[in-house]
Amino acid sequence: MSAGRHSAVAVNEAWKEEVEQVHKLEIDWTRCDGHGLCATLLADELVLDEWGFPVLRGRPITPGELTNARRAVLACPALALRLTEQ
Amino acid sequence: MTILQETPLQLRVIGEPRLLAGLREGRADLQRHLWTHGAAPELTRADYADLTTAVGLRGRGGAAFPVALKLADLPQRGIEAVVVNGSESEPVSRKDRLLLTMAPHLVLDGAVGLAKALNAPQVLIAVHDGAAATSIRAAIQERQDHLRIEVTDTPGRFVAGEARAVLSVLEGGPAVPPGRRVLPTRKGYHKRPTFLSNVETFAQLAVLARLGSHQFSSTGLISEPGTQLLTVDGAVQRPGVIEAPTGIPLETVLQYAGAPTDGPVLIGGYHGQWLPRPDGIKLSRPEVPVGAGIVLALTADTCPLGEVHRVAQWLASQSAGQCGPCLFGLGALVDDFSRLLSGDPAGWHDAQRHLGLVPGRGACAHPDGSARFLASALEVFGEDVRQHLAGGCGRAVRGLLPVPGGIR
Repeated sequence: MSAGRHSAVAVNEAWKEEVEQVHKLEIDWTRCDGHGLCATLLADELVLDEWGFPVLRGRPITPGELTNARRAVLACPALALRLTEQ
Repeated sequence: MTILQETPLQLRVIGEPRLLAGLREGRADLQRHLWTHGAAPELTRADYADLTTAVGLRGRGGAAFPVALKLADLPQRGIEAVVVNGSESEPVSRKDRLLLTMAPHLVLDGAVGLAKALNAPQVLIAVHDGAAATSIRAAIQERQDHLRIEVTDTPGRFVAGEARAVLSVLEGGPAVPPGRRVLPTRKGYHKRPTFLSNVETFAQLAVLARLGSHQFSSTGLISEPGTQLLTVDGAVQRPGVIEAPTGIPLETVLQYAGAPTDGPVLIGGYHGQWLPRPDGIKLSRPEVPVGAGIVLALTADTCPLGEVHRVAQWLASQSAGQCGPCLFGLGALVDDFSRLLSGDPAGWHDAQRHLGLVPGRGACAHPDGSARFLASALEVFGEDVRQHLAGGCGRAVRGLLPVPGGIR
């Protein structure tokens, strides 16, 4: 019984690690030219300011949002959008 | 109002002179330097780690990062260079060029001593002032350090003094900060581990190496003992560089420089913050944002918002133009301030909005620092804002805050 509990804990830990891998969006401001594709693709994560540059909400990307975030990173024409792991 | 370059270097000391010791009669050549300070001891990396930890020495370029932490972040081997950042891009600061011009050997002792302790093969010195470059080159000729020492001239632009912009210039690149935020201790000169700090930090290290932590701590605060170099300018009778113990009351510094003690004071330079009055403020890092040690005094008979507007124009002109929010945001803020000055309340509202859109959105700290400066002006000069919105404050802009090159 105790062995079963241990393995459950181990699985739990591994899952927690996976989930707790915090992903965040980052912008290389020297590259960003305000094309604005990111704001269309990731409307929940960022908005555009009055000059057309993205304003990040700054919250971590949840595992469910990760696929969309990766797509947006690939879609940035200036290669300015990045996804970082912390 | 571009009297910046012509102002002769004036140095004064409150308390015990350390960095400025022996400079009363002028520049210290090698002989005078050795006579004043004695020979430099040869210390190990562990010695430097212990000494900087014991006295809590912080970098003197503005960010006030603990030197001991920077040393601890370097790998055990493979350190490419020790870089002395003498670009002193903060326009009012005079302390670094004063050290390079008057006490070059003290700076070299600090940099060479540390480079040898870290087994770094070279010392790179970035300078943008002509006299400072001449002095440091002459000093290198006088010495035999058995180490490569190179002096490089950097452009005088504000953002060119940022650590990674300096590294870019040393590598032969443009004088702008790169987009990726990496630490020089990990990926510095040619992407190799590098120890980079401000000129004064190295001079402090040279003094610390000689005195030891006990004697070094005989003046100043317990948290960060020793002295600091301050540049005092603005509405003062005796502008210039003052060496003073850490934690000195701001009022004492102002009285010493002959400034009014009832007017507003800007500390930390044009990325710094305004204080309505100097009362009760002690110059200690990092609680008080002393930055690179700049103190600017204003009199009550000039329009403070007009003065800030002039500086805002200059700050906007100093954007490298790499990052949209900095380029457009600072430009918009200049416009907001000018509308506010002419009594348009929309200028104030727009300024508040734009101040939220600028910080943290650039490759370097220029947008953050500029926004901090402007936000603190709106806060501290709230009464003046009301007067302007009600028709004007009735005072002229005297141009007491120096702006290099004037306004475009």
